Amino acid sequence: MIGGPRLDTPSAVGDEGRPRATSLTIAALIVAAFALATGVLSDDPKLFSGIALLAGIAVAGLTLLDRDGLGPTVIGHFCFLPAATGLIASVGQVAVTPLLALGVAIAMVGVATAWTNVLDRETVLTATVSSAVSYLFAVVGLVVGTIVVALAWFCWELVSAVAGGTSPMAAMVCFGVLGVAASGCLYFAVAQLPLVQLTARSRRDAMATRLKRGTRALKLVAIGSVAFTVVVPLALLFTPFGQLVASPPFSLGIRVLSSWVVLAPLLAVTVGALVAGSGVIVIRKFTTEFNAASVRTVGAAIAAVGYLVLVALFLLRTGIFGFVSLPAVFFGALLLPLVVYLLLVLVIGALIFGLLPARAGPAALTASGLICASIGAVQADLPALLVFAGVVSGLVAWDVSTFGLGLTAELGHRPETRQLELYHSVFAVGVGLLGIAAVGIVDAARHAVGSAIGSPETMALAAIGVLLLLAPLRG
Amino acid sequence: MGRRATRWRGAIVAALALAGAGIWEGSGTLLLAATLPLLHLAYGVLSTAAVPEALVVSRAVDPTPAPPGHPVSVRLTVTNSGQQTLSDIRVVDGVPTDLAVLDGSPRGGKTLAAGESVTLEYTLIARRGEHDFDEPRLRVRGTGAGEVATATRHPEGDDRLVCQLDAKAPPLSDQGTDRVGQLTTDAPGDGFTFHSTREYQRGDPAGRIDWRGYAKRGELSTVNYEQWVSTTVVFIVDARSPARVTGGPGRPTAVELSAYATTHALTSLLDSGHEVGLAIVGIDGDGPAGLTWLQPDDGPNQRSLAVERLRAAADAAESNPAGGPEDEADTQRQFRKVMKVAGPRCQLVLVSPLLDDAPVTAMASWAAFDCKRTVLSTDVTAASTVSGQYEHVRRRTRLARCQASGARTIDWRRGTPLPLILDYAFAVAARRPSGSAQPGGGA
Repeated sequence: MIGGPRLDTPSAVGDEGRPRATSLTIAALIVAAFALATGVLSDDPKLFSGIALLAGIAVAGLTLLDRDGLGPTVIGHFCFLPAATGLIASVGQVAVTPLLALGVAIAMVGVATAWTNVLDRETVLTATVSSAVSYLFAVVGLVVGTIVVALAWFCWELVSAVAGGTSPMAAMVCFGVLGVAASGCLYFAVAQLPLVQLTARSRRDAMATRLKRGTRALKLVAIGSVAFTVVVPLALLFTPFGQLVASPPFSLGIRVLSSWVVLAPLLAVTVGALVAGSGVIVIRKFTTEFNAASVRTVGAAIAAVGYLVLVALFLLRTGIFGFVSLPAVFFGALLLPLVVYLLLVLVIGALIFGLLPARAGPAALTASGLICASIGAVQADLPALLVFAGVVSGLVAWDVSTFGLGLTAELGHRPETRQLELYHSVFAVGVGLLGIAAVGIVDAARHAVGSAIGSPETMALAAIGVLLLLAPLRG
Repeated sequence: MGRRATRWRGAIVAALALAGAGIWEGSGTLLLAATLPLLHLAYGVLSTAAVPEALVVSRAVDPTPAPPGHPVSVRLTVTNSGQQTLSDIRVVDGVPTDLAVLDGSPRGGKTLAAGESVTLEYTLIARRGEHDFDEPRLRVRGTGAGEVATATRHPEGDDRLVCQLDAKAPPLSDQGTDRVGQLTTDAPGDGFTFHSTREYQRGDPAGRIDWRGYAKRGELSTVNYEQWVSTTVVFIVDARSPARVTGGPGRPTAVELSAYATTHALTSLLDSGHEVGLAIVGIDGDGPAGLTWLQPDDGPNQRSLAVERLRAAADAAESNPAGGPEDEADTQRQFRKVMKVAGPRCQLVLVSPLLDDAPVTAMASWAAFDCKRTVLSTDVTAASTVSGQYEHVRRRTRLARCQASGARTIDWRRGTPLPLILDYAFAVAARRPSGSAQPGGGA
């Protein structure tokens, strides 16, 4: 599996992806041609290359999130949320009207979901829940991590302040607290580590006995440390013992207790035991009770760690090069995913209420995206022919995609259907070109005649009249 | 006339959206663009479709009759003998509901110019019985795919697949009369295959003298050939409820396959002059202990009687897949009874899928009689599922246990031609001087 999981396994391509490859290829070419033409007319042929890349990666991630394996799930997380977030950010950043960029992005997502056949309610719902869990893990991890780092920093500062100092009270308290923490953490680690299981069978009884003795000793040390932490400061405060320890040779002992020679091993034992015990719990949790749900949860947790690393790297780079403000990146990473989830919820709602047809959802998305982009092209003052081409592209994409769907539904996956698809596509494209030519001529005539006949008001009246006449046909 | 396909409702929405946006933006371009969806709508509406009478349909089924489990290729051809090009024709053949398609697809579609044909080729797995094909359905669409017309046409050629247990195993009278007795023994004697030489004894036939050896060494010696003797073989067919299973939908049951294998084997053995008996376990018969029993005998009549009983067993297994009220004790009793009624001098051939331990136990108990025993096991386990692979491993283990008890085991895996298996099982054909009878009964 060099280079990650394959997308073209049956579970990814789905029941309908591969057999209607010709129709999907034509739809994809239409979208690509429209995006390229728009880019060329906007003086930047690579205008939508970023959006295309992000749309592809996001849909690949969406597809992989529907898998059961841990590897594909994790890679799906890494692909989906960053790419989807980037896609939304890119739509606002492209140097054309937002509606145009949005339309092209929707069309590209439509084509990609048609290839991978993932725009159905169950898949989108599963992916949304899975991704939202990973996002929540990341946010919670961020909060918990911040608290832990702050706590660690505070402890470090405290120990650093005490270390090498001469205050008997501080030294005693610090030593006592560290003793309690070290013994407690060791007890926790010994309880969690599978020491008996890792011992040879012949020596397990002896090891169990030793462990019992060890844990009892650790309990005693912990209790002793607590007592030491409480009693010694009181003794220092209210008895002449305070003056006694302030003078040599006891002051030397105090200096030793507050030196790094004593504190550093205690700190190391505390941290090491804590990490070992927690690690064992995490590994045990991840390797037992293994089923599809736990794979998804584990995948989401791993992805959450990945997100945090990714955001940290981005923030680091931003901090070094300073091309975007730190708060913008931080809040962008935190808030833009919420927009992604909002859009996914809208898609799920559209699928539930039938606004997006169950099987032809990707085709509808592609067509509506291209029509939306055509409206955006008008706003961007792009040539009328491009607008007509955009509308026709949407219609042809819908036509060939739904034709391919019907073909698969009727004939199944095995028959060779390329000739039928190509034949239909040629006619669909031909009718589309005829339409562009006809409407282009009318538009040219409209401009030639002048505003009296070709004004928007008269055109609107004509258009409404035509619609009313043709509405009874209803497709 | 066909029915209209509603593919362009979205075009109305698109037209309304563009018109609305055009009015909102005050853009004549968008208003003009709003007419484009209507153009496609009109294109779809104006498209018409009808299934022309000039379509010629023919079907070829090969082979028919076929034995159970045998792949049967079906070829359906639709020819456009008219003058018009059909932009979109889709064909679905009426595959019999009881049969499963093994390879290929009974569906297809093409653009058919005048004189062109579309051919569907697919493979079915034969199951016992006569299976009628439905008429193929033809669906034609207009150029814009706006209208759909569907019709059925009666095809020329084959419209039935016949599957018989004795397919490819012609009656004994067709096989000639060259009965020699073909199971070899270790003792040398008369025959056709060289075995050894011995010192010449007075009275030995001149045809058996090793003249070449005499020319070289000057000593007379006599050639011994492998001796072929006639024997009695009893087939025990496992038709109990554990054997009434299939390897997948539309495939023959293990009982059917066992009956087919037995039909071929007994045909071959009867043809070679052996006496053949038959016992069917698991079917309520009129023999001892409820066994379906056919006393060992030879001749064409014996074959007819055996095939009739095998058919009845396959019918009973198919009509009642869950099995009858007979319990495990009954079938064990039937297995034990086989040896008593067959006698100690016969050879036993157990034909079973070995999906439980009862046949293995029976095979082990027959070992006490010191007769030659063979297990011919039909493989109906599915390799594509975990449970199927598990069953396959268990079955292989049972085969190994049978082998350990001294029996000869033959694993008839799916896809291996039965004649090849039988050839190996009885080692007949390779020893014949001329191919008048094959072990698979003429295959």
